[in-house]
Amino acid sequence: MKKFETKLIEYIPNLRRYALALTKTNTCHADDLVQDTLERALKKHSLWLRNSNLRAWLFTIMHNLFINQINKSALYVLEDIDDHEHKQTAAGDPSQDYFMAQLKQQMEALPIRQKEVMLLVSLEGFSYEEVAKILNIPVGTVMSRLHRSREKLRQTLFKENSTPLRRVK
Amino acid sequence: MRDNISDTEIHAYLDQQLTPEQAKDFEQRLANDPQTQKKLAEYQKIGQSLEQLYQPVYEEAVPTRLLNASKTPGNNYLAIAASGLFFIVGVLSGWQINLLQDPYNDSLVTDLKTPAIFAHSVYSVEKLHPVEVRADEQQHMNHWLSKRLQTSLKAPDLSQHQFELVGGRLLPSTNERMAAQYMYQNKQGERITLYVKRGDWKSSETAINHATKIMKSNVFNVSFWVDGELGYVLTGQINQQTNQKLSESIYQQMSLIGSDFVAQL
Repeated sequence: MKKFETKLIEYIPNLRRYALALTKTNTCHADDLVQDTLERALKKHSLWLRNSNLRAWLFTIMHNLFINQINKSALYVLEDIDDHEHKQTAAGDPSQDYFMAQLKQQMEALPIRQKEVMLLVSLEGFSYEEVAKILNIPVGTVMSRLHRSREKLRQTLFKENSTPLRRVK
Repeated sequence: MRDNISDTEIHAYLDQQLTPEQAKDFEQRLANDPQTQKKLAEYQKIGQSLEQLYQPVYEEAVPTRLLNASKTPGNNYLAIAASGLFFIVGVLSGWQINLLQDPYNDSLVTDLKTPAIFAHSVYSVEKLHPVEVRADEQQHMNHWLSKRLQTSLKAPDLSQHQFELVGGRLLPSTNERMAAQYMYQNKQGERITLYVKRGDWKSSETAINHATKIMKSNVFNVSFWVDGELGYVLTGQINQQTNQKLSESIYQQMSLIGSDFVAQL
């Protein structure tokens, strides 16, 4: 059990990052979600198959909790509190700042189902199969959602008149 | 040049979902495809920036409440219900076991000690059905309880302390777990119960050097301790010294149950 707890703690940063992205960068809600996830994981510890992917299991729990929450309260979705604490800190290049601000805005504007796929694949590095299991959707759906979300971000962030970017040759 | 590169392939390459051969093939075709190169670079930039965007929270020190949440069981309704019920029973029967003032106010209390004392108070007064399986079917009982609790269990022998095994039973407990209760009786008809439960005991609490802890309540003397994943509670209306002696004996006997016993199962 100690090992289980240690592993839980190890994945908290990942869970927090994902929760923060899901909850539109509202740290308070995000950490509530993380806390719920951890508590549920401890409670359902016996349901976790030893040596199976604990990280994926935790994300599955978080996904389910999050979806339940937004199904329950429309308020949650509408809330959009800016959290200055987590503004990105890479200063220096103003066009980079602008790009990051836009990315943040665009991420928040993504439909939740696309956003989840984008975060799990791109940020957490899960395989398509793992994401399919976490979200309980077919692999094909993972791929199409991924394409749609990436393409949406690309088209808004890299369209003409947008911030100039270094191009590859 | 082979077929055009599909979007699916670009994503799969980016997310390292291709086999090394597929990736190599992809890179070869990519070399002659400036449009895809541009797209790929933009996707990559998005991925890197996304990581950067959420980097602060990822690197931030984990808040204490989350560290705590990953150690103690969360909303434990069963435990709350059990302790509440016990409290009521205690008040009604004039007992004064001050659970609320217990210094060990954590899972060892809510998930181990409290349900154990309650179970003791329920069954130790039973005249007709004190146990589910009687001592004469001891082997079967050991087998059965081990199987249900998914651990190796054996009713300890306390006859040298003048307590004979009456039998045992399986009990539902908190945290969706089960517990085993063994009952012993001496010639004077005094009964003691040993409550055993597997649990996610906090590691800090297991560090009692596997010693016996005496928790003295006004009515019962209770010893409880954790040995590995098993928590034990010995409850009885016996004096503290006897309780301690019995607990030590039980502790020693139970820690001897090892692989031999598992092999028998």
